[in-house]
Amino acid sequence: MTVLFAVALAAGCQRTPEVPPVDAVQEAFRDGELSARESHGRRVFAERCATCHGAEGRGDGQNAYNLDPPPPDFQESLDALSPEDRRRVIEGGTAALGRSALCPPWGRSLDELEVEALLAYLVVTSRPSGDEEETGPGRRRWRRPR
Amino acid sequence: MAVAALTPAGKGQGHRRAGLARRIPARLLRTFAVLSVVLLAVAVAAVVQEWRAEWRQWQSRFAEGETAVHGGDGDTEQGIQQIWLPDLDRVDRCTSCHLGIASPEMKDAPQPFRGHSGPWLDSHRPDRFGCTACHGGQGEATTYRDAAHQPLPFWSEPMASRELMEARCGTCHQERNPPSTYWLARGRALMTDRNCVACHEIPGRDSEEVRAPRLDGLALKVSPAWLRGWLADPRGYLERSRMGDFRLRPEEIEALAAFLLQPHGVVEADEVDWTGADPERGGEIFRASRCVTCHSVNGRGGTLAPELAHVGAKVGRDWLYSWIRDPHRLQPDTLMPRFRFDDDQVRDLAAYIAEDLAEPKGLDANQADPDPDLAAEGRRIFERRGCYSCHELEGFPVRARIGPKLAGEGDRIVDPAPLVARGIEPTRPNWLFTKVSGPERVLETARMPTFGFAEDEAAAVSVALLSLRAQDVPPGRITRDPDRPPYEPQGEFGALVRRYRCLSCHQIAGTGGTLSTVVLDRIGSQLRRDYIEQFIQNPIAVRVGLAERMPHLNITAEEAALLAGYLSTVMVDDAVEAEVPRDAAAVARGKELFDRHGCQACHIVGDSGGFVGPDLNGSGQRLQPGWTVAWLLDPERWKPGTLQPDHGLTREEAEALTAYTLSLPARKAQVLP
Repeated sequence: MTVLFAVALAAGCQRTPEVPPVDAVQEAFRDGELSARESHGRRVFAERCATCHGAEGRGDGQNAYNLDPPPPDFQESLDALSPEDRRRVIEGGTAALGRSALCPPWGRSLDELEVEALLAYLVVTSRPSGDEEETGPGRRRWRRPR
Repeated sequence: MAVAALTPAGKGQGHRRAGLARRIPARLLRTFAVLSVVLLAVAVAAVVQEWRAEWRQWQSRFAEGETAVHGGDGDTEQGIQQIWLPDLDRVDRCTSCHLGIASPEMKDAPQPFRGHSGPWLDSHRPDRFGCTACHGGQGEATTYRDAAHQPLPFWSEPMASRELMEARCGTCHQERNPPSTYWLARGRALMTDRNCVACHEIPGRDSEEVRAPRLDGLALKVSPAWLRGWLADPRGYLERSRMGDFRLRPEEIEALAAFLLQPHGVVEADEVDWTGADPERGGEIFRASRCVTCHSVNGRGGTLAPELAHVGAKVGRDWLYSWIRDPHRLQPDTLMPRFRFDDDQVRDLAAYIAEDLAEPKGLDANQADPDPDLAAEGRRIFERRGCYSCHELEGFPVRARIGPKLAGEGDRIVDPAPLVARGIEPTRPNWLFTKVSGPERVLETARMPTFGFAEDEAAAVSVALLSLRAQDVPPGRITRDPDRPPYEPQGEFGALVRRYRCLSCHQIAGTGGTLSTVVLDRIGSQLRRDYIEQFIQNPIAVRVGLAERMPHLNITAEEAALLAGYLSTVMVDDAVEAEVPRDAAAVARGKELFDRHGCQACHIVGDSGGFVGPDLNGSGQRLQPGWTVAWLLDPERWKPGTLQPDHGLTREEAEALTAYTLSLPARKAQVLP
């Protein structure tokens, strides 16, 4: 009797727990781990910056080896730049910080949203790679903003 | 109410009332007293609740903040704010709590006081557009919950996420995609690519062309083994197939193949003498002509035309010969130009493709001809699945739309069951997403094919579909392109444009492809006539890093002269000035500016420089000075999204830079004839 009860209990517990329904379309909008603003930034970066800086900001774009000084790897260089200075470089080029003129000014070509998106994506490119392994794989579930 | 009923108005009725009270039983009076107390309590509660209303609390908190920052008397109450939009049938009270929405200084304030982000309110004034037209939600509500910030039972329009909001942009912006609508634009482009308009009537998209091959003479083109494999799984042969998978059963495939391989129409292959065919020479022609600008081979190359790595196993070489010799005879609407090859070149090229690009892929094991008796059944399937909506075939109507109209798709009432079964939240966007991902997932008997969209593609198409609302948008709210008929080049120029299919890649007056970044509308103001003439005959890319270079069409000298003459005379823009002072002082000043702005990071001058922009050596033989000035002054105006930065130059600076750039000598190997 006890055994029977134990088996029944075990069977009861094994029933798969209720999975909350998925908001499938929102999951599909996600660009990996990136927020909407970050993935917008990634698109702007791909269009205007990646040819020199490389798609991930590693300083390995196809035009990088034509440049002296070469574009930096953002993982190593970005922390030294305050958010205000990052914005100044995007809008006024590296010349705005008194450096070489090789990174041109985009302030007249990009609108405010694009600049903000770029700033958000820059932070992503500066994070050490391998973050994904540490926080575990899989895509972040989308949550409605509160 | 009760009191009113018991005390009818009128004079001289006091003694009658007293009499009435005497006759009322005590129990009823007690009940009446209790009810009165309850009524009073309810009334008080209502007043208290109204006094403590959410919006009132937010307003007083906002006023406190304002007093703290700006001083002043702390006028706490503004009352419920309301925007009434009769033509949209909307009443929005959102601004009762979102009090800082229109002030830029509130950009970083906590919600609900935060100022609206982005530039949208400049073009969509809140008093003209309200809030819910773009954001969704219940505009009349005055609490967080009832406004449907989160999904709300029985309210079909909860507030949209950032991505789904783009659908609401598309409801008014029907023809052109507004800025910052990545998903909407992508979804619409995908719908164009997959010929949705062939089967469905789609508001705002009705003039789109349907691109699919005619099926007359199919038996001359493909083998039964390929056709069976293709019908069973188009993406098994072509990863980027524009045709969807119709989920046909094997017997349906057999019948359809039998029908399609019957002789249809009058299509004949050219006679070819294959003796002396030289595939090696054909390979050289293949590379020199830059076929990979449009076609890919093993995934490398262009995306405008089909992958060619396996085409030799798909089509017969006699058909290939006829096709390359004159594609327009077999497919009048094809994007492929008619290259000027002689017959030996065509033969060698066909031999190369038939032999070297013939790795079998997606073929059915059964190579036998299908049973012709099945053709009648195949014809019925052809009709039932609406194949003729996309494909022309003799005896069938052109573009008979077999699918439902898509107007109102964004308000479709959806069946939650298939979504719940798949563990998906049964919302309208999710239903459309699931349907687009695989129509059989929401309706087993669906006639629509499975297009094999990736998840993000299906989500983009869902956004485009959600923009198609049931309720008519007032005509004044819809942005339309000016009614401009498609550009049709005429005369000798037109004949050449059609022969070489210039408009498959280039655009003139908004008509044509987008593969080339060079719009031809003002090309005569941009480039020198002799350069255009020379380039057309021998297109050498001036941008070293460019992957999609203009193919070698073998255009003759006379044709090139005619094309260049027409382009230089007609395709001009009077806004571009013709001449610019170019003295030695200007050149020196230009050189200084060139160095200061780091132009060489992207442009080659001499032997060094970047690979992003055009090589500037010898650009004086190529560029018109007036155009160079106009370009430098405002590159985004001429080519939105260009990699040429806007340095904010003055006209004097732009002229100096032009003087310097156009003074650069051509490199020896690059001297133009």
